[in-house]
Amino acid sequence: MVRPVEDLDYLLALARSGDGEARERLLAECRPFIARVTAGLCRRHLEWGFDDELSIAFITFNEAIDRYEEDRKVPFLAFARLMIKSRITDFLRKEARASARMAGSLNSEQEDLSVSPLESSLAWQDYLAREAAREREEEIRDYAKILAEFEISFSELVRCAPKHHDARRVLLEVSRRLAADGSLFQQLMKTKKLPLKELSLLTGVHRKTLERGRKYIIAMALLWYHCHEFLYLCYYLKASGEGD
Amino acid sequence: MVTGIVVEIKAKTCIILTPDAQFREIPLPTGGVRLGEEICYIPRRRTIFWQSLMAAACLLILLGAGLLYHGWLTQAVAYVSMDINPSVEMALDRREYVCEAKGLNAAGEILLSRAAVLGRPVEEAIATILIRAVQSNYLLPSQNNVVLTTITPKNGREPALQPGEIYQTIVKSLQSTGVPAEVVVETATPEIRRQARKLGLSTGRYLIHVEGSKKGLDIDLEELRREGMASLEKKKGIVIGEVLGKNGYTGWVDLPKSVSRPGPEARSNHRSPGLVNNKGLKRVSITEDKVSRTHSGTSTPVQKTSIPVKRVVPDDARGLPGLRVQGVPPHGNDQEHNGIKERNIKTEEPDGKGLYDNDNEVLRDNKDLPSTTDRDQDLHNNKKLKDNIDRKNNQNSDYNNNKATLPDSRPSGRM
Repeated sequence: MVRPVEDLDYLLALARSGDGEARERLLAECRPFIARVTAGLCRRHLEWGFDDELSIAFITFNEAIDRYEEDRKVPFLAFARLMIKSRITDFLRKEARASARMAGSLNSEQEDLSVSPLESSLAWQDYLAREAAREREEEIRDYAKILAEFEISFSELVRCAPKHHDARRVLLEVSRRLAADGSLFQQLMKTKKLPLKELSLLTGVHRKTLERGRKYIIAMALLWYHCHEFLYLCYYLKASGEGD
Repeated sequence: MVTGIVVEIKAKTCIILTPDAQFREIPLPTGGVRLGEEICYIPRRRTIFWQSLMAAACLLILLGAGLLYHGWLTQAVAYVSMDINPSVEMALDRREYVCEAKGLNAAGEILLSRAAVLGRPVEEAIATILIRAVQSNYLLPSQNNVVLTTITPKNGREPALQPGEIYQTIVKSLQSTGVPAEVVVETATPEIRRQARKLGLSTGRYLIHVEGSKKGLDIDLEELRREGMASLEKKKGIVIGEVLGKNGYTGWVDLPKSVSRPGPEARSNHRSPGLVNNKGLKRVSITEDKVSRTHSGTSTPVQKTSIPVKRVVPDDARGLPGLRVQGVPPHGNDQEHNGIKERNIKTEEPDGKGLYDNDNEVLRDNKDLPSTTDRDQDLHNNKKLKDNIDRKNNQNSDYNNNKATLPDSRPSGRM
């Protein structure tokens, strides 16, 4: 189920201002996200209460709420993910070191002197920038792949996306509602065709209009639906959503 | 300015996704970009491109409209054919300018080659043609002259060209050249013109054939093709103005000054025996009444508006070959013609005087009479015209020598 990015931002703002309840809610909301990210890093199934990685990731996520800087133009979830990634990598390395020490490693003392990325601000900034750029690039490639499944290319979107602001806003709203409606979206994924009739009934937009903006609606609905995967793209489009 | 993150990089362009969810293709920035990078783009060239395109489009539209208007304006809408002996035809555009001119016989072609009429207003073109015709001796003060003009609209619509105006133009031109002539201006339908062209005739000549057959006259097409208007009248003993004269204007243009006549005036007699009795006529009006002209046999006086044209009977009948002697009607139709002329004169010039008195004065004074230089080029009429001139000169010298002993029976002028 899609969790609108705007909701998280709202909770984040409250949590950062010292609202304990909002922080709890935010952490609760993002538990699946934390679990998914950590499992991806460890490449194995993790369970709450049994695995240290999950606990470390959860603590890091809570820390990220305080350390997040909006003007870096990195979405909060992407930022938290990077922190978790950094911390888990660090943890795994320490784990590896501990096992190596137990095996009688000679370099153990030297390795203990290594500085955690989080402790060096400059290094962290650099890391953050590089990682964000890489993730963004990856995200766009993934998005292009998903669009290709629907035989949509960016060039086509240039041609068929509405030029007029109001027309575009209508189609964006349609795509949001399509992404939010589970059954309709599943129908889209299954048939690879836009359920024009149902969507017209749902949104009240004329069928012809939907048909004309068919590819644009699909592209945007895919983006909204996979919002937690396309963090950067959704974050980038959020500004216009707020503007509307 | 457009901001967006790069989602696709092509050879020379890249596609960006703007914050307002718009996909745009922009030129690749110098230095290259990375996928996912946020870039700014100022679409300056695009604006210039659109502006220039708009300007070019406006220019094209204006140009196209201008061309269309010009084409519409210079499209032939009416044809004016003139028959003297040379037959010429001019196509007129909406402004009544000549947009095409061609000779319908050899003489017509020669005449047109000497008269620049293309691109001229119709009045000027007619005047030029008449002046050239006089200079080339197609129209002579001393012979029976006929200028037949037909106006044909191109598409059967009512012609913008007024026959009356054309008539006036011809009359004025003839007056200025000092050549008397019978002037006939007719209107014809495009169908008549089409048939005339098929037969290789001018519209006017074909009209004579059509109207003549209606009136029971036997006018051969070959004769029509060959003969000049005046000689046709002579040969057939008809008056073209009478044969036609249904939809147009006919009338006589005479010399501005009356010329005393040396002797029996065969031609005037042929035209109208009444002239002798009504000697001293100075002006002859031009009948506009179509009914009166069609019912030529009646002698009902015509009270119609007249174009004040000074009339002097042409002094061409001084023994010219083929002209008849006074009092000997050579043709059965003469009576009819005479009746018409008489009617015209009687009704319009009841107190005419001095008709013949100054005939020869004019002839003498006419220093700028047509020379024979141009005639060398005329293939058809050359010999005939020469004969005419020679005869005329002989007569004039005879007359001058024997002026004192002219017969008393000659109509005395200025009573």
